[in-house]
Amino acid sequence: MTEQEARQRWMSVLAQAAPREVEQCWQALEERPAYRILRGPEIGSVMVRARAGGTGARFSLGEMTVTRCSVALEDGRVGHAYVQGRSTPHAERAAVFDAMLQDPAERPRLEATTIGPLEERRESARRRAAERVSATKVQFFTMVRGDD
Amino acid sequence: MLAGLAHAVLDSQRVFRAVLDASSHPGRVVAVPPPVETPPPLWPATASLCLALVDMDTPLWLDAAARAPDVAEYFRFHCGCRIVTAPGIARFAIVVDPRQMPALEEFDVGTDEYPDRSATVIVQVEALEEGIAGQRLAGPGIENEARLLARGLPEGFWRSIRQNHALFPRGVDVILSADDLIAAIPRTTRVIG
Repeated sequence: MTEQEARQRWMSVLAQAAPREVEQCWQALEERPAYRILRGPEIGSVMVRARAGGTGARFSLGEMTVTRCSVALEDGRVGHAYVQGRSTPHAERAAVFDAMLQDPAERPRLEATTIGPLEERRESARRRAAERVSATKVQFFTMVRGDD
Repeated sequence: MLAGLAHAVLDSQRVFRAVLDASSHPGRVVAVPPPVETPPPLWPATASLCLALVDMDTPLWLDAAARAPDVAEYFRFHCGCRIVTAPGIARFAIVVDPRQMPALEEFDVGTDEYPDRSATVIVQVEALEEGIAGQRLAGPGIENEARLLARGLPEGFWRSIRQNHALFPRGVDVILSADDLIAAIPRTTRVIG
């Protein structure tokens, strides 16, 4: 995994976790770093764009409310977060986590205490939803008409 | 990286109000609310003006003295603007060292059909004082005559302002800044004497 993919993964995990879960992880930290706010946290909206079937023409799906925040730690590392919804503490915490995770020395510890468990919870919620939905799955098929 | 305006919306409105006040009264020295942090070598007023006015649709040009990595990063992050190297395609320009500034005609002066598509040039000076001494100005927004003392401007500056005025309706609009103060010299302003 490249550095960029690794960062995309933890930013995604932090953004998709519930605000309450991110707050719990923050409170559970032994040491919370000092940081300065660079921007926000501020609430706005983004236009979500998509492609039909993943390959079709691009179209605007609709607007989504997001909250974003950017922070800088004392050593100059900058963290960003864009999270769905209107939770300003969620965006702020996620941005600080993003800045902290950029330090390779801190990463394994945070991976074990924060990102790993949050990702595990996200995946199990996803699996539960998939199982619930698959029980009601309907198979469509067409009978061959006896024309010949 | 440094922080910009403390309250993006409210502070932008305050800055806009200050620019409006300055532009409608050329030569008047107006205070601008400063950003939380300003990258050197910019004045807080220069940074605030750009934070409030510059966005992704307005390319920004920086002179050699302003072209510090911190400055470019600051505006790219807070304004989302492009930093351009040719003065002619910029909508806003920052001149930190007026002694080395390009001729005003090198910036976009707009066209006769669309004179509004011109650049705004922010020129940093050492100090600004109004009323008592300095250059005499007249024109729209000035009742009889205004006097503006701007320290740190090169010899031919007011001559180039006069040439800029002669291009009307084309021409650039100039804003002088010093510390947290600004004074506007729009293209309509005449230089006396």
